[in-house]
Amino acid sequence: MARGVRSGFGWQLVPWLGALAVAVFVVQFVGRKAVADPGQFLITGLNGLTLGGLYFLVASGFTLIFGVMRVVNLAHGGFYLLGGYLGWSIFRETGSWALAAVGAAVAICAIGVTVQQLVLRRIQGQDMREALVTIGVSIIIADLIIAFWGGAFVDIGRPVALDGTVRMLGEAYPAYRLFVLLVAIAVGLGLWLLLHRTRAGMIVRAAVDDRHMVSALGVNVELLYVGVFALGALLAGFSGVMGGSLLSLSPGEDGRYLLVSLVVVILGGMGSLGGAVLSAAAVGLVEQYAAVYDPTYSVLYTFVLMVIVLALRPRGLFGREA
Amino acid sequence: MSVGWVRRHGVAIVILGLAVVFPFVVSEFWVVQIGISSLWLAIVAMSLTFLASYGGMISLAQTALYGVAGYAMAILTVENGVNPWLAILVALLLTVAVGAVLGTVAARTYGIYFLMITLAYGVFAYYFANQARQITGGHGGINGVLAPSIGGISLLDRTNLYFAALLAAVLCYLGLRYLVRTPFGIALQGVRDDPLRMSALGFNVPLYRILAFVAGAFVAGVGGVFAVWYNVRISPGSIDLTRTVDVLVVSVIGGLYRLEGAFVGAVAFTLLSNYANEFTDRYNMLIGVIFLVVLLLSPGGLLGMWEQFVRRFRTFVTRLKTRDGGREAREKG
Amino acid sequence: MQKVSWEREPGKEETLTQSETHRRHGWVRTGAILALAAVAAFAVACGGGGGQEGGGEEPVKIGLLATLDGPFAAFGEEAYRGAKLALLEHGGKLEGTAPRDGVSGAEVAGRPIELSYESSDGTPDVALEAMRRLVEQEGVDIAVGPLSGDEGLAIKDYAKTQPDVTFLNGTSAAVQTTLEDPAPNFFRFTTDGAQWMAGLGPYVYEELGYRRVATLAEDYSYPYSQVGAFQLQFCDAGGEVTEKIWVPLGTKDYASFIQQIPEDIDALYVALGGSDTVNFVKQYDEFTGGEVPIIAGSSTIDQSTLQQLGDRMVGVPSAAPVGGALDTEGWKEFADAYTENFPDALPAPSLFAWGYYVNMKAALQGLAEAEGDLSGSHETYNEALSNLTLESPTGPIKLDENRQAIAPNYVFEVAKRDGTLVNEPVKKIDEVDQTLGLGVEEYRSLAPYERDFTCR
Repeated sequence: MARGVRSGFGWQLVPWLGALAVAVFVVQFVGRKAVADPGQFLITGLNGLTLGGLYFLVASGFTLIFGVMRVVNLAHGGFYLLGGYLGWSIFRETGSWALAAVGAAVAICAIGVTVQQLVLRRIQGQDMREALVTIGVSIIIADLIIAFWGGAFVDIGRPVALDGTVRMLGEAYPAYRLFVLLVAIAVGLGLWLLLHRTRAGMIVRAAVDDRHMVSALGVNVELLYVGVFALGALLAGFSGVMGGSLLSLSPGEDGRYLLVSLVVVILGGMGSLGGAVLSAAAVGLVEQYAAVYDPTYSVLYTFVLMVIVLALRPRGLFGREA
Repeated sequence: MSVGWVRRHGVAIVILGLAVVFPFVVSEFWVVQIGISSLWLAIVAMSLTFLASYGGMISLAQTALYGVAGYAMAILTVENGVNPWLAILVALLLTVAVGAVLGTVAARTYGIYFLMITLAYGVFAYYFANQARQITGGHGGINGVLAPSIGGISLLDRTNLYFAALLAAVLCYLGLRYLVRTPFGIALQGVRDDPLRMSALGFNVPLYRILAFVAGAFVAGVGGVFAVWYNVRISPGSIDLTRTVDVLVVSVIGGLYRLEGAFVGAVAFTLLSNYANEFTDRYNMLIGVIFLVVLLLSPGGLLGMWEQFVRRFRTFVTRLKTRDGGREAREKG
Repeated sequence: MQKVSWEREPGKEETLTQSETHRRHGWVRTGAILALAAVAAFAVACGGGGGQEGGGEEPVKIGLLATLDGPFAAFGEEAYRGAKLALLEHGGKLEGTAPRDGVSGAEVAGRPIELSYESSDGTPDVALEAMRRLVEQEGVDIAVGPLSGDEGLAIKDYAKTQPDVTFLNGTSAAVQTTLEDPAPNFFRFTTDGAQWMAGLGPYVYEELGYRRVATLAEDYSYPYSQVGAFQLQFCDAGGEVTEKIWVPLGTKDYASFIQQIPEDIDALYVALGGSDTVNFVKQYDEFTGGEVPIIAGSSTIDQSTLQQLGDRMVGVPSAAPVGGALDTEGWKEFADAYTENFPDALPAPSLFAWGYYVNMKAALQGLAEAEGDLSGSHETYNEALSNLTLESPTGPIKLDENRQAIAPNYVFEVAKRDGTLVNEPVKKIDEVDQTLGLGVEEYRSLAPYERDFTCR
């Protein structure tokens, strides 16, 4: 489609040349900085990758839901934050981090299924309306959090076993950050196996390509949708606890993680797992390097990255025609 | 002005009449916080409604665009002492220029992708306003942006500002209505419904979408000028994510497929935000629930609901009439 | 191609015949007129209020503005608690412990006090709208608030347009609010962000022996004033601020900012707020081992934040007008009243509870001294406020000619008492004025507090 409507413009090359110029500048700038202080460069890179791990955890559920259902779940950030707060409460009551992670994931999964059944099912297939409805859901969730937790910020804290540092590159590096990265890799692999090595995954992949055909082949699409939405919400709730232990949680964080998910998923191409992996890492790295090399405007760089990519590839790096 | 003209535009005349009488029957507080507030919000929301209903583009960048105009006004008048009328001109031109650049990048994306790239614009604008302290004054923004005088009529007077906003709103509304009936507007609706076919017919599809986005930017800019006079200041908090969602809520509640919806939505929203806390502590929850219910029940928003209701009621009345008629006929026979 | 198709109901409008369209619009028209008439009637009904009459038994309306939405929501709850405690001293009774639960029965100079609440989300625009509702809709005589600095600047400007109402600050602490172009009817019985740093620089130089300090703070005006005032006094004492790291608002992951902290320093001055402090300290310890000691800003380790930080903070110095373990008689009474009335709140009142308490107390005490006289443009009352010496929990507070508080300030160190972390006073500085003792001329001639503020 993108190719079709572009007919009038003869200057497709312009954005690519622009991007090339930007790329050359960035590479030589970062390269000089790297040579000047290689230790800082490497640690910052690791910071970026570990933060990217958290971003992937959050965004994976989002991209899964979109890929299969074409639903842009703008309440995903709300699910994340609510999961984190629930996890904090469970952690306070029981003292068990694992229980908090599981409890929050299951609770958000249940809430997700409820939202899907009560709200989204009624307007299935009207993608823009579904997106707007989830904004309504996110407003309600944000206010629920203030109603129950009084707007206080909370910190779940590291699981005891991971509350320390590991020697890396001659420096002490927080163990929990590496744990986040490992969990992200595990979840990524798990999702890949689920999608590529199981029958359910096969159906899901087929649905990403052509939902109508899958439904015509007699697959219970309703059930598929519930399952996928449940899994997406579960991942959001779980990453809420992961994130609430890495950083802290406060009202307003829902919007932040929604944005991160959006950027990651748009960059990678909606519905593409591989794209999400790549772009989560890219966003994490860009954020951290910008924080070191241009702190004042650091928060802007991810958006610049996103606009550049979209200008070149309107459906993201690995996006497909819908 | 024939009788027919009056009859055709009856609703508009009555509503406009009420809007003119409004500041003389209510307290000054209402003129400002319901009147002016609804009007500028309606202007901004109208730009979104226009893009959504005629261009098929739900844009979350409208707050960023009114921010451009608002900041330009504040910087020019407060910090550089530029003549306010020149400032308005520059502010609107700048908004249009920024709209053209943003539109050029965004116009190649459709549907949900367009929604998200414009959301990124909105958030970018917020962070930029926060960080570019030399230009925008940072987190605290720029204070003391006062409305100017037109030939001895001071817009600092609340009633005068109300009428200026009303005039601007009406002009924006008429302008957009005119625009959608020009060949450009008709082609834009074609682009909305089937870009592929329009492209095959030789229309430059991205150009139409960019131009629509620019028109929307202009209207949002007008809203921004009044917003900054209403608030007497602008800060990143004036264009943050909450405000972005507010504008969307106004458009959706009012009805995303009619320009008039923006006014209905803005009045409803302003009344709610001022009076909801008298009966609930959970104002945001209320807004969220209303937003959800409106979306689920009627894609046309409050305006659509009203029309649906009228349609049903009319059918009901007609049915009653025919039944009575039938009975009479039977009794006679 | 996905098409945005739901905005219109395809085929419905188009299939109506000409006459049907006409008739339908007829109904729309009638409805619109009725709706607007209803709105207008409602407007008249609601808009009519706000009249003020004199008279002995006439209630005094006080409006309270804090933030219950947005990033400062938790602070807003503290603010409401503090303000209500002041009303309890005048015979008020709590109707509940939730933020918007009222206080009944309070009376000053024979006039009953009527309290109304408004909340903002921390942005100046919303604060202004909320204040307009209090003043122009509820018709309050006295308004107390707001909570944050940017809101304070907005309310000060608004105060100038409402000369018949008296405004008292909440906890907003922007320096300019009272230093530049003050409003004649805006009174601030709390000190500003720069005053809150008084005494910290000399203390860490002399008592703790720090010579070279780097700073890390959020990138906006309140931390500018905190860092600036600390720097000013630290330099005067003989110290040196070697590097300043500014963290953009909205930053959560501090890993890469921690990389930028120089190594050859004696201590790191940190001015962050709430959840950011928690994020920062956690990561700071992991990355650096936390060997370089921390010096904290006023709201960095406020009572509400200290809870989340744990024993690691013991010994960290900071400066503020108030702290959990103050040992003055007034503070103990205040803290006891706080715990008694709000058992589910923090272990000790925070900066925000204190600030709203002090300003509300001043509002009521001024009213008592004016014998409830709010006639005209509150001339008697404003006069009484200007001359008031408030016996506050932290010591006596009086106002300068800009109606800005001159009050004691404390240097604290975190200590653990009975299992809870508190800020324990180690030094008291009496009568800190807005210019930190430099005099208005000298103080104004220094560059305003900005990112690149330098020593004298």
